[in-house]
Amino acid sequence: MSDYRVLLVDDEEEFASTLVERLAYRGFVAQYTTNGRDALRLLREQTFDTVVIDLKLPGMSGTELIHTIATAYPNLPVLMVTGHGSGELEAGKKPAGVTDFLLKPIDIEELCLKMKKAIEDNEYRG
Amino acid sequence: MNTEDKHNQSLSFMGEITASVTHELNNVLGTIEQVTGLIEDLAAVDFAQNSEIAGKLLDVVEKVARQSDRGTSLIKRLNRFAHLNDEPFGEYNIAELLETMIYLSERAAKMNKVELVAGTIDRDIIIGIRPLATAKEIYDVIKLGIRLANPSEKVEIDLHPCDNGGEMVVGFHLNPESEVDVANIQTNIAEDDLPYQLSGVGDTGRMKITLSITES
Repeated sequence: MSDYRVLLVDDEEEFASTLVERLAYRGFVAQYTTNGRDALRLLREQTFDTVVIDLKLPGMSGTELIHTIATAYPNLPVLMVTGHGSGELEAGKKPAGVTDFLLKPIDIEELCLKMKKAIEDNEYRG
Repeated sequence: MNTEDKHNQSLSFMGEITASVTHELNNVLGTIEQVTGLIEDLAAVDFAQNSEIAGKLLDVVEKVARQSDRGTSLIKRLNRFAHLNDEPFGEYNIAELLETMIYLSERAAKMNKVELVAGTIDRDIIIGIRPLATAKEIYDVIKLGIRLANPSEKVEIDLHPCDNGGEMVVGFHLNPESEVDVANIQTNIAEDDLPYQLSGVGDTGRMKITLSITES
């Protein structure tokens, strides 16, 4: 069990709440929120090892949120989730402020591997 | 605004709506996938206690998951299709475009009891095209193949490199029960100046439709 603390930001509430439960079975302590504003509040109030952000968020977009987090918490690994059709992402290019990304539909095992790698690489770098 | 601009605007509108709806449908399927995944997780815990119900539960989950995968693939292709007119002209991998159109033609094939098969597809043909127009040409060729083919045999689609692009070939045996006049179709293709040809393959009894996809 890793006990890594994860914050998920996805406006699909049922999706996010289910993913949180599944991550718990895999040893992660996950929380979710459905918007960028609440994500920033949670980041101020608690400590997380990584944040997973859906690019398409209502209100503050995923891109804005990633930029804000990268500025305020430069050492926090950020994973971005996006749908298909993002040619550059499919070609393996990731935007600034993003440690790694996943394409939808999310494969839970891939998500776990990428989160663990992002967190452990971050710990290694100190 | 000229006619072509109006036409492009209508296509963009269609693409925008389709892309938006497929995005939402993808979210629905993504949630179903996670929910079935959670049931699997829960059943795995019960399996430790040899629960018969857990086994049945997994069977149901597998069925839902298969349908969810099917829906996800379809939406992925439809979303790609919907984005084709985002840029009326651009560099495209025509193998990807062909595979998308084969996938989206499967229902038409199914309705004609024909099975479409992707044969040898060269994956490295990237050229400047008008993607929507090219997609339409590919679809027209596939549809003609579906219409003419013998339902008991597969319709095979290949893509090979050629000068300035790729050559798509749809190969099939004619449906012996249809009363199709091949010569008449060939004449119509020539008269309408369509970008493909219908011909026989030697003495094999096979037919092929050939479309050259080149730089626009």
